[in-house]
Amino acid sequence: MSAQFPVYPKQRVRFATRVGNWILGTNAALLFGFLYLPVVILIVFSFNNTRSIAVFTGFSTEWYTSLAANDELLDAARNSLLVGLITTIAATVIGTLTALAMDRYRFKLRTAFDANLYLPIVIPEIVMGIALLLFFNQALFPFLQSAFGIRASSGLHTITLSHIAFDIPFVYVIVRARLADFDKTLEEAAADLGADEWNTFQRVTLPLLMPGIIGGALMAFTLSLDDYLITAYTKGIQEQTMPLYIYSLVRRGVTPEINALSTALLVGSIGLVGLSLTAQSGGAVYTRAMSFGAGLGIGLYGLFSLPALFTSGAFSIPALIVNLLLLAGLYGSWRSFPAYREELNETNRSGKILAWIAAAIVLAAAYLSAFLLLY
Amino acid sequence: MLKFFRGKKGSQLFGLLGPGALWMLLFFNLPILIVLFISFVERGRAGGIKLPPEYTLGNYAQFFNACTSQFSGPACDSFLYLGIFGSSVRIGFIVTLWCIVLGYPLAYFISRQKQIWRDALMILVIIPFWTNFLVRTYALKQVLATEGLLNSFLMNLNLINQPLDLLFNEFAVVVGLIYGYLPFAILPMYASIEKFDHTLMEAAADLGAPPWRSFLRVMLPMTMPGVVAALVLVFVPVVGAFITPDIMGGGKVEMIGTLINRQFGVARNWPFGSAMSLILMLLVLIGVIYYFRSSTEETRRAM
Repeated sequence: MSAQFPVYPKQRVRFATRVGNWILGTNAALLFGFLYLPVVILIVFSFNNTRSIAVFTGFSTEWYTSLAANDELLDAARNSLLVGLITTIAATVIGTLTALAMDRYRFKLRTAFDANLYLPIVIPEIVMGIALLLFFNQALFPFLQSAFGIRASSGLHTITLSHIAFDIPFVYVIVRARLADFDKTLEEAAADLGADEWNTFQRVTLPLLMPGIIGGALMAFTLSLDDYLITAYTKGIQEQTMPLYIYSLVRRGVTPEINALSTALLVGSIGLVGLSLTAQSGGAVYTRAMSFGAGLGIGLYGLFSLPALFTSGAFSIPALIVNLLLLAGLYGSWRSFPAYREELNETNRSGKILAWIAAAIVLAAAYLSAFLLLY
Repeated sequence: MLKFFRGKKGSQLFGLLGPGALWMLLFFNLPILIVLFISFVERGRAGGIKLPPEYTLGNYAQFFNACTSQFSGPACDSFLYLGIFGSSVRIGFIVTLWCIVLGYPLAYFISRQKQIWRDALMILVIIPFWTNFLVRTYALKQVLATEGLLNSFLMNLNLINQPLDLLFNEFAVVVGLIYGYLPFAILPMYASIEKFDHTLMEAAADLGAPPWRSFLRVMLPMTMPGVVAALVLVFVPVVGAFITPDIMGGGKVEMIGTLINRQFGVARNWPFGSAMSLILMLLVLIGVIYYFRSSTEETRRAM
């Protein structure tokens, strides 16, 4: 019977495997090339000294300098940042609370509510966009007008309300996943040791959830910053955001300014991915590094803008209060440093480097954001 | 109800769930209900809706037979809108198929690398998720443009005499959509393939199966959940896509997304746009429900 067993010549199999591996490798190289070459070309040509997008004629940063002098763009960046920050804070708090509720409690309609939270993720963005457009213009504004006599119209506030609505589900899903891996015996241990419910939450649950919460917050921030469609349907007449501005440029054609702007955004996104991956990889040292960096960044901006406050003649009490609040960031980072150093001492060398890089990126981002929002 | 709030558990649950429930009801469920309402009323003279509202099924009728519209001329095409939906679904399937056919071997390739390479390559797959979709689409548009790099490259090689029209046609839209959604296909397939026990392939080979057969009979069926997830994750956003057909199609390629968008822009026909949005939502939900029915909790969590 053994004669019926197909016997393959050894050489042929090896050759087939080699061809197979070669095809797999080529496919991978081509696909990564397809995904990344356009982006690399975009970055390279943002440094071109002519308007050509086919021939690199020489190195120049003129497109970046023209960006920095573009008021329309700076306004759009400021609006995007403002909407993004408010959205992130609100969506992260609400999404985390919802995830806790869904994880800890059983109640009527729980499954339906869960499905309802997934819906905004799966339905096409355009449907949510027009739904919000119609809601604001056909329902909410007329209602406010007739019930309270308030004349409301679209603007950054409607964009923010809408962004929070589509971000809550994403934060919810990410935090919920973290909760599913959560070891509940730790909470029981805290209770056994005499901690009350609030203490347990603050000292045990929250720190363990932190990587998920930060990951969710960064996701929410990115989505808000990148959103075009829902923003386009809920925007007012005047205010622009970054994607709206880029879209209007792209519709007009291909220019090196867009390349420069896109490159700046790409650098920002890559920074965000890095932070998110680092935060989600666990390790309290990274989250501590990030909060340390954020406080320091805001605080430093407060410190550097303090002299200008008194010399430029623009002195006012609200400006002083804002400045003092910024300086509180410095105080916060100083207070949080011992805990961060403690965590650092328990980390290996590459972890230490990574933590410091994370802190530096967050520092730069916080400083830049404070500058853009308040300048 | 009052007893519910008096209980500690009840008030805690309310405090945790309240904000999220309220926000979603107000800014998601209610808006969708308003779309549903508007899809059943007649449009106003200057856009918007007719007030007081007059109820009609006309918007849905217009979708299935474009000639029922009062504005349609004598040379109207009854299947105008159905045709656009049909071509969107067709583009959706073409894009999905390419994403799976190209993405599966890539996911397999990544899963066979050493740990450190695997992590690095997966980061390369994930980065596009985080980069601005507009920027990525623009990057591709720039390469394919008439005066772009690809055309000048081909002309320098003397392969072509004049620039090819690589933009503003269905080809550009399909390439743009593959470019945009390929990572969505790789991720779930990778999750499935990584969990696949490759010794099973050796077992199949030992039992005499040639590689193609052990792939078709062992590996593909066992990694099917990942393929199905990829299918849904690509097909669903592609069918309702707006940015890619708009930028890569330059107004010359019509898909559902651009069609709906036009009803809220120049066409100013909100009720008809609402009706089409609901039909699109239904189409997408059927796909998602199919996915949830056919996948297990475990494979979804791997995502």
